[in-house]
Amino acid sequence: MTLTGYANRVARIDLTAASVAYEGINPDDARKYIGARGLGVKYVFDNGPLVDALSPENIVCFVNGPLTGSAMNMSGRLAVCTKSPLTGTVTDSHMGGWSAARLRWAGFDAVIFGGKAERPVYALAENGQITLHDASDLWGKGTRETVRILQARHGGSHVSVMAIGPAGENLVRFAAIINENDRASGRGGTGAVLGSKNLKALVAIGDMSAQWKPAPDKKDAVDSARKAGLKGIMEGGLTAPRKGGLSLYGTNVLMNIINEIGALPTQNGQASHHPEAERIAGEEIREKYLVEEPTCHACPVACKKEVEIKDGKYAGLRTESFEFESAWALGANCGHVDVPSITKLIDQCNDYGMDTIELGNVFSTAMDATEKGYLAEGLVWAQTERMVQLAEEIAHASSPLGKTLAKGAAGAAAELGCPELANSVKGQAIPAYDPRGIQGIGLGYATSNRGACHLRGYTVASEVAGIPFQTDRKVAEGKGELLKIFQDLLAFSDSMDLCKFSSFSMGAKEYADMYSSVTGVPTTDEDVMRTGERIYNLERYYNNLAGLGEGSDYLPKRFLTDPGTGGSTGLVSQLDVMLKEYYQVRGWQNGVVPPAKLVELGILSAAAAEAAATEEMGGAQPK
Amino acid sequence: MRIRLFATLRPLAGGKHADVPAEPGDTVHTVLHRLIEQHPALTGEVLTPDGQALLPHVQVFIGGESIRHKQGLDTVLHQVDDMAVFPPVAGG
Repeated sequence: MTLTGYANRVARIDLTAASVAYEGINPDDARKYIGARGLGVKYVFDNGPLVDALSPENIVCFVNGPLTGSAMNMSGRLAVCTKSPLTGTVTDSHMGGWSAARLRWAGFDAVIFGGKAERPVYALAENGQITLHDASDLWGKGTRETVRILQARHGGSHVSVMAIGPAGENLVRFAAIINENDRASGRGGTGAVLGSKNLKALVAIGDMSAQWKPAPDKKDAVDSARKAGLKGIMEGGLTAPRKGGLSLYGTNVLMNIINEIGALPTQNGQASHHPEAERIAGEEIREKYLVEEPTCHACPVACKKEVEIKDGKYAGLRTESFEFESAWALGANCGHVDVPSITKLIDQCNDYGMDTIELGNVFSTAMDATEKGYLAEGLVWAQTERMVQLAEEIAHASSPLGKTLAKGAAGAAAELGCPELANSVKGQAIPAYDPRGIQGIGLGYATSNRGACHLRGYTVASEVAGIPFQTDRKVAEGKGELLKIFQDLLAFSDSMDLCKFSSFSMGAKEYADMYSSVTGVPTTDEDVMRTGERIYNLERYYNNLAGLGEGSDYLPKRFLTDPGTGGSTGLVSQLDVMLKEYYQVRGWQNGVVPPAKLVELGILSAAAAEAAATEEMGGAQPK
Repeated sequence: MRIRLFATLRPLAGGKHADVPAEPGDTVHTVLHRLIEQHPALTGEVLTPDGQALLPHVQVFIGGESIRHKQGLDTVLHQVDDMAVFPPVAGG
């Protein structure tokens, strides 16, 4: 192992046998795939693409990057990687807060769980060792109580707890893992994978005294890279602490501008503009509900916004965090702008352990289905009290409708006989940007390797905010190339593991300098993009092998045929135009990675690619 | 005309919007200068220090259309109705 920066320690836990084995980081894999998302996907890839996501054969990996827990700004993140029970794809879902740093300080680059425990357990990571403990007393409890009990048991508030709630235990397909800061590994159903393994939580004990420090001769390079990144953050019009829009209003600074341009999916995408969305926007939240602005490890931006409801039936309710995605999904998308109800629903998601985006889409799909007669006595638009009741029924699998909706928007719509009403791609529901109003993000949803997602390739930065350069949101031409740049760049930053928001003030050059200063591997901005491309192609190759072949990149029909409203009146997604360009730029054949590309990127050897080429890929249909 | 303001521009202007004299044929540039004259705290927040260009990442919309995809600051107002001005915003 010649790379620096890593702990060079990975734990593999066989929950069936209740045994733990330790190994180092594979240096070849670390060079090719970096860490966090990239390395985690490689572990999942090596485990095989055909496993049942909720079987003991699946693995779930908590993976840090080489920068995690270091003094580099915005580096307090880890990736949870597994095969998703929601999409059947490989997935990676990242959480912020302090858990990632503490897992690194506890001595680990990665903790990988396989098998299934005989009875509920939790794992404790401390001083480079993993121990398993009985969690029978915690099973059935929400994440908040689980955190309280485990922190009290293991030393206090400096202990990190990454736990599932009842949703994960009941295998809700969009169950999340929540940590002590209410930060979530939210998308893709990672919490259900833990539940399927009888794994309640991963606890990490570590303090900053174990933080990685560079050797004396490397200190100047590390300091220089860190200061360059910090300068971008401090001077950025968006990220500057207590001055920039992201710092003052959080992610919900987006609500008004996205609604202004008519790109806010409203009432399950029946419209793309909500006339009263301003009432749930970041400006309104800061003025009337904000009580605290905590932050993640090594981040001066503090985009998290903790709110408190002052009056009404939810008076006294205090929760973190009133994000743009959650406010949209559980509010405008469901036809209402009632802040207390949205806050209550976010709070439920955090405690039960569920993805707010998928839950909002589950509700809006059910509302659409009710309106169109597919669901008798279902759910009507803006029926907030029933939403709160149903959230509980879903998490606890305590009613027939709750069990149906626990399958996610796509799964529920299919069961109700109206699959066209689910705004989902590859089984995962869309986030808060309407593909009719922002062309590139629609292509991003269609081609995301983990189902509909804005975070794989955040072209919104360019198409709306003009970061790093302005493109026209309404134009399809050029979006294939633009999306590839974003996808590859973010695949790299996700693998270090840096917050996505670092890309608002840094680029490939800053990432290269950070990475090379910590690991000692000389790296250029071209290397960054090439490595990101390799990671993106590895994910796609996994999905191809898992049965998602040609035809798996699509958008819900509504966005292709029903025009948008507001600032996007008359617009539909021009997906066909963009997909053609995208596949050309990627060098893919209708969404399938050809063997020559796998060899070119160093994913497969020539011999392995030749063997793969002789196997039929199978024309899988989208889920 | 009524100019709607968002995010960090609101505390600087002391409200959610500003009413600025305007008539058909005025350019966006002219109207923004009047806005800044009315609210000097917006100096350096919307236009460059020399007042000749829109700051990077600031967005001005007329009817949901960004002026960056029209004629920029030279965009002529045909109907004096509604303008929205955003400072740099993004998230996820």
